[in-house]
Amino acid sequence: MEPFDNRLKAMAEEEECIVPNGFDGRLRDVLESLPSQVKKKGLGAVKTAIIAAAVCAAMICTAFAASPELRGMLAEVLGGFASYAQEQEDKTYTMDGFEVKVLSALSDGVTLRAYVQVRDLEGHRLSADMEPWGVVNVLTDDEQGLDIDGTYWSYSFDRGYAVYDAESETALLVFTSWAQSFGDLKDAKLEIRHIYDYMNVKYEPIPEDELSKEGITVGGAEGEVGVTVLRPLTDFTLNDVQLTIPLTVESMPKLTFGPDSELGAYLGAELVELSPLGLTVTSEGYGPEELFFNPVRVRMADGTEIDWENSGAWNPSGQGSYSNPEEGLYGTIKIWNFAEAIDLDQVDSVYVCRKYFPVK
Amino acid sequence: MEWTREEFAAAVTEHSHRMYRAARSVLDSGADAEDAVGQAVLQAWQSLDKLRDKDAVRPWLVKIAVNCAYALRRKRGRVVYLEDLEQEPAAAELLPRCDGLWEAVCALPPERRVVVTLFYYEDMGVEQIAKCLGVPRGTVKSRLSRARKQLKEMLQGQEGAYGTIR
Repeated sequence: MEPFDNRLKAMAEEEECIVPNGFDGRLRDVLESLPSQVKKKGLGAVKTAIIAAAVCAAMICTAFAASPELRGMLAEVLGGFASYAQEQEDKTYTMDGFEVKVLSALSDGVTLRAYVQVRDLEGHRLSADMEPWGVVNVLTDDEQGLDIDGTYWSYSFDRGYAVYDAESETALLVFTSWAQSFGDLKDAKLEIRHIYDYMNVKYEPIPEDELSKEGITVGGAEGEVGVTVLRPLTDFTLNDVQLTIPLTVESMPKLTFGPDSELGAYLGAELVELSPLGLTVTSEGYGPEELFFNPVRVRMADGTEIDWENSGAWNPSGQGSYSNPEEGLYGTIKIWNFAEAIDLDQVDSVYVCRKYFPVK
Repeated sequence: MEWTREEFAAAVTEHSHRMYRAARSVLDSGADAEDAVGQAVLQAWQSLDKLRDKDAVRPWLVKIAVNCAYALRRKRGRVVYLEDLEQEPAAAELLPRCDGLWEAVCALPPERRVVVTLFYYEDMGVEQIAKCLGVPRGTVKSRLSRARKQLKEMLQGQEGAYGTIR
């Protein structure tokens, strides 16, 4: 190893790793609240009887219909949200050798979620461990980030998760996006760029002449032959939307709390919304910091409590910011999605920032 | 391989600062890095059966933290924070003079930051880093080489046990 490397390793060893204030305490909280080691929601929960009963039909079936096992998987994944999910047009699309069909969608106006059935016609690219990426949205790419009615919009989306039926080689993918508001949802759509398992994808080098056509130049570092730029071994262009599927979805009901409510006033929020799907806090500015580092849950009338879906993390399910450059207004929105559907008629209180707030 | 909850918690506690540093080398904010560590702890807990050698728990946890950080970076891809909009990106030639290694590492571009962190702080070899990041060895070597040049420039004049960096 060269002297400079030794010098840097010595510096690295001497340096103390600085973490944010309170990091160790918050980590202890996470460790104390680890769930029992059970399988991820939906995975492995498909009843063997359902698969066995339908496997023959799936193998000989040439038409791509929502097979019994997929319907079972969808019901399992939707759980209590099934009553809010809206069945989509019975239409199949193809992309990259996959058959794609949106089975269902749901929304509360700030969270938009689609349940998509995918079958691989060409190989064995699907699995239970894949992490699909897709966006459900109402605005086109051009409209995102641009001035609309004087306000910049932003939205975020999460990697989805997959439930996979090995017998029929069919996957159920779930995509979720969040926005300040999806409006009346009349232009809702699902945009898919590509479907692949990014954790296991193989790569191939892109030839330099192909790179130069895109205006990318590469050069070798000292002592090196050259730089290799790689691309995944799938036939797609990373950033192009290949498939756009319109969705039919209406917002589910929700409870709202303004700035004068006990909850709104405590959070300093412009608006707090509680739907069966999630809690949304819209604040002028960044909102209280405590919102980031404390769990959110709902207490029901019978005393049971329902946590938000990812209690191991400190940031919400979704968040974004919006601004008006002329007036200098800006705000932030934070969204926590629940692990189970909330019956609004049975909600007793909301737990946020370590305090319970009655909703009635 | 059987782990008790206490053994797992002890291992995570021991290596949590490293996990944070590795996540921070991928992400641009401490809050996001903390979130990635939280996600990594949960993911590690649910994937314990995949760890075959208890002695390898440190690089395993660091790798999960890096992967969670990348996942979070992709997730944040469409969210624009005002503080990000107000910052001007640093020009490649305007490298700051830095007092400590981590300060200099944070000034590197993200892809070089993470290989430097894994190589110098986590003592991983090129092969191991390549597997962790899912890139070829040549890519790791090239990023390290470019990073070394920039680090040398930023740390110029620094004295230490191995003499002054010139």
